[in-house]
Amino acid sequence: MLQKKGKGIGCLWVLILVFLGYFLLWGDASTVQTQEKSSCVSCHTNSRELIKISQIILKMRPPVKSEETKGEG
Amino acid sequence: MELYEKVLVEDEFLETDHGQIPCVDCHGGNPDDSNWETAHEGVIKDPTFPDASKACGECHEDIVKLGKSSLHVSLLPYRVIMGRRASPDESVKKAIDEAMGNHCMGCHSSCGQCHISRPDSVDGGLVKGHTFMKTPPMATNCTSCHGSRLEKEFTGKNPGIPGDVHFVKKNMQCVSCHKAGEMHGDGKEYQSMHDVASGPKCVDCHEDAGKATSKKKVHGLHYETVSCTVCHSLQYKHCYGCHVGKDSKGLPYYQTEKTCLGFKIGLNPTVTKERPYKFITVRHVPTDPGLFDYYVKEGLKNFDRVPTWKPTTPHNIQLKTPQNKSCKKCHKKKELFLTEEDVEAEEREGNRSVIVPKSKIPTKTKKR
Repeated sequence: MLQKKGKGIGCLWVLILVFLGYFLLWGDASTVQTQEKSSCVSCHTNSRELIKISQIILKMRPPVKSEETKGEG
Repeated sequence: MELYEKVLVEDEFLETDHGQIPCVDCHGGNPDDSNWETAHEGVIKDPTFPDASKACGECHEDIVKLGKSSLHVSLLPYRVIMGRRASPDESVKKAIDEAMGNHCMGCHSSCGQCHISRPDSVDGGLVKGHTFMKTPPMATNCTSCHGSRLEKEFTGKNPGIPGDVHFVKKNMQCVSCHKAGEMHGDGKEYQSMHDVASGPKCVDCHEDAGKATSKKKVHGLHYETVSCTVCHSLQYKHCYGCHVGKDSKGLPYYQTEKTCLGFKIGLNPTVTKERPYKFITVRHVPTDPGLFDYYVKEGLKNFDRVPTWKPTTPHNIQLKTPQNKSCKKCHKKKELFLTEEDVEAEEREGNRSVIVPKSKIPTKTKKR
């Protein structure tokens, strides 16, 4: 009886470890993604930020096209 | 399209396979730098041009290898034609190379400029928030470049001329006929788009129309003599007198003298097994002997080596057209054919191979 109870507790521990391992690994993966997001992606998915920067760029380098272009290209 | 929209990445892209690749792997730059200006130093806007081996080749090796021969990437026919027209003088060639670099060679595509963003030549911009599109959309990625002539013909934007039946009735798109094999190239360096082996052919679908034994008598009589567009297309656009240069601020410009609609049947200058026709539709292209005068006077000394009226396949196909209503609507109809009077005196010599002498305008109608 005691032996059976001991086995049951052992299985429970294994399960707990598996779950903990899974969540820790998953947590790690999400950290990697967040790190990636923190640089290029976080800015390029943020329209508000991009609008702000694009206004600065347009002031610095307004689009220039020759006014002498005429006719169909 | 606003500047910010051009570079706005959608979350949807991040869920895709390509979205798992770190941005820096393809575009470079420094993702650890919090200053956007310095972080973008060395960034490659289109990592697929001129060489897509690094960005795409690792997974799509075969396509990338062949892609270098794609006319959309190499623009080889432009180089070949200008090479023939140019003076052999080395300094002249150099000046023409410079001019073409400034004005002509920017009109190319790449893996990215078909499958991710609009082409650079129309100011670029992500189409679906950087999501890779297996099939490039017609409006953003084909007709954004091929707009002035082909789109207007195909969709019926030329005044009084209906759109192509394949588009209007069947809603076919460019890729319905122009398949990936043609777009991606097959490794051969074609000097003309008409030579591309995997290019579309009407008989791929309309098989019966290309046989002597066709159910339609008229096809049986004409299938080797006239190209399909001679009977089945309407008026299309002709352009004249393109000149390029740089303005007082150093910005490149082009100017074309005139554009007009018209329909002209010329002689086929290069009869091949695939294109055995005697008569084809011809279009005046915007080139001009003084095209590069800004860079070098009389640079195109051998301008006459290549016709200015070029074989064309107008994209406004109809079952019934004014010229195919009856035999008499085409035979003896001098005004449909490109005769000497239609060609400017200074361009006649160069167009000898396509001008139809009056004696060759079909008169009699044969009976089987």
